Amino acid sequence: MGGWESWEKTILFQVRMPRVLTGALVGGGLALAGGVMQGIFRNPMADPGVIGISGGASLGAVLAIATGLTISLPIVLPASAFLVSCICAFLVYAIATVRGKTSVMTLLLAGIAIGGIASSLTSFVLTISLPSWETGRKIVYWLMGGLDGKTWTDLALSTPLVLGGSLLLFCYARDLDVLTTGEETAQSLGIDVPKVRRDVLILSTAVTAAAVAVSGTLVFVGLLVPHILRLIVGPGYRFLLPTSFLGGAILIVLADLVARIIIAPEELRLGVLTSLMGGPFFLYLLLAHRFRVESI
Amino acid sequence: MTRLVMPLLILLFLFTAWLTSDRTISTVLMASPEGRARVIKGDNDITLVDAYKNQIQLKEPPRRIISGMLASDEILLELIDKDRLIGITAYATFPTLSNCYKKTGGLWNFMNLKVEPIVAKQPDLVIASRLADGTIITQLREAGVPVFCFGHYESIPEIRENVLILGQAVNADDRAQAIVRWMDQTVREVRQRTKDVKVRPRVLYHDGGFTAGSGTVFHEIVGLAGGRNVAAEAGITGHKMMSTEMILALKPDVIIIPQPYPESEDANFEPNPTLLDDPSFQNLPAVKNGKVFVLPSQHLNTISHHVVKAAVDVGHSLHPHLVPKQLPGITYPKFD
Repeated sequence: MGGWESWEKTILFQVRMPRVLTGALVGGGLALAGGVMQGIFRNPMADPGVIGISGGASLGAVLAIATGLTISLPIVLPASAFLVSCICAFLVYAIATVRGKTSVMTLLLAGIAIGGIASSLTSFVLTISLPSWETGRKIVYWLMGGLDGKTWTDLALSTPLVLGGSLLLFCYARDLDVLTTGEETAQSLGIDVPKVRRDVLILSTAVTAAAVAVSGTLVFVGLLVPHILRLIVGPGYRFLLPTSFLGGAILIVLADLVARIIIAPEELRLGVLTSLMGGPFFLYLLLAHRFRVESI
Repeated sequence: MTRLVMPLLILLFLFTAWLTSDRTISTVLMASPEGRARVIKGDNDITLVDAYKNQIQLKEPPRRIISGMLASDEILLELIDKDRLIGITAYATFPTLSNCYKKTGGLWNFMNLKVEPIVAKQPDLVIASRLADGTIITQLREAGVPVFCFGHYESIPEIRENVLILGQAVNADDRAQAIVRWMDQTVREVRQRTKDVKVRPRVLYHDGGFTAGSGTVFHEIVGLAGGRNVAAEAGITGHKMMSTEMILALKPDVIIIPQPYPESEDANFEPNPTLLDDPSFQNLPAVKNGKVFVLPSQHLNTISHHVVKAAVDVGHSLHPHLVPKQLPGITYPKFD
């Protein structure tokens, strides 16, 4: 790097590098969380966004930003996101579970309802913090989701939880594989299905919360990536989970690159771009699985 | 395995907390200013301490300055030669907003502070406001760019102090002193001329539904120009929305509307405020008596030294026989 000016090094190491690494981590974490959720609920529509976890994480993070606690103690941001999204996830899960059986249809509907409540509470927090427009502006910007301005500290804030949580989730690949054969079969093979579900749900909520806390809401990543990869590496979770992590990382890094240069010198918000990619894909899934959904 | 999940998660949280303690993350906004900005003079260097207690050591006067707020554009363009200023805000070039647009030709300008273009310019001092994006300020600092953030500009004494601090920072003390002298003379003259008025008219500031209560520069200006701020009397602090009902109930004697003139000093242009056409306002004393004044917003809304021009504008509107449009004997300092 002899021929480089010091400011170019600065941009590379202080601006671009943390941004790309945070993007890879966030994308990987969200994709993995989506993959395992599709596994534990045995449903192709499951995704941290669809079952209300992302909405809860947003609410928690916005609360942390609005109260200003994150200024002195950064950990409050993912911790608060985690707490609120845990509440949302377990509400959804409890509503959909009757005598140990989880109805997928109820799960998705409850997810929509809880997600809706969480997002309107987010709007409420935004409304009351708007008079101090610095806070309001920060929240609005954060809600749109993006990676611009990420620093090494943001990376430090998300790495242990996303990476650690993901490694723990990989340990459940075998259980998820067995679960694809059906709950009764899994139960008879000695897998404590409710316990596995609970653990996987907590872990993927932690991963999602840590990712959302630094990047804002990036919807559909958890839906998009595992589905595409299932077509390539097959449905086995032992391959699907690691490849989903890698695929999510690649997708977000590339999407962020596009968002950064497509309307230069301005930047498109990454959240806008992922929604534009993921929305149509979700609709395609809905249409392709129409008959299955109707039969549930 | 399952028994370990919660303890492991808690460990991960604790580890993250340890990793990120006493650091600032990008998702947070700028904290409130912690103190007053000041300049510490050493033997061979000076140290700037901004309102957030960030210290910048300058071994020699900065020569590559980027100004990230309109007020510092306006002040710096008076204090130093243009070649020491390598970037200003785009707002400084708009005749309707800026008091210095005539001097901005040929200077690189930008709408918002952005990390990459600023780092690429290799500035030795960046001036930013309290409202700057905390993310960007953090990143610029991490990239080794010295950023000085102003924290207070809600009154004429605070603005006066900011001019002096900038003067010391860029080694232009004399010019800063001259500007401050002009500010003091102007304020003293307006106050002197209006101090004995018997009736202090009740004034409402009206800017697209927003008004200025106590704790604003406008409040201070109305006070020294021989008026009373009705918004402050109604208990409003800072810039807040005010409903039509409340304006009607307060019955102001004078309404002041800031409006940018197409040309900064050309007051021949008479804008027609829609307020005058609103049927519900027709019985207000201010409207009935023709006391709705449209004054240059680049004087009323600036937080640079030009703000004292608003004191003359308001004083002349409230007491035309006491305060002339131009104060005799007080001239704006001319340099070079």
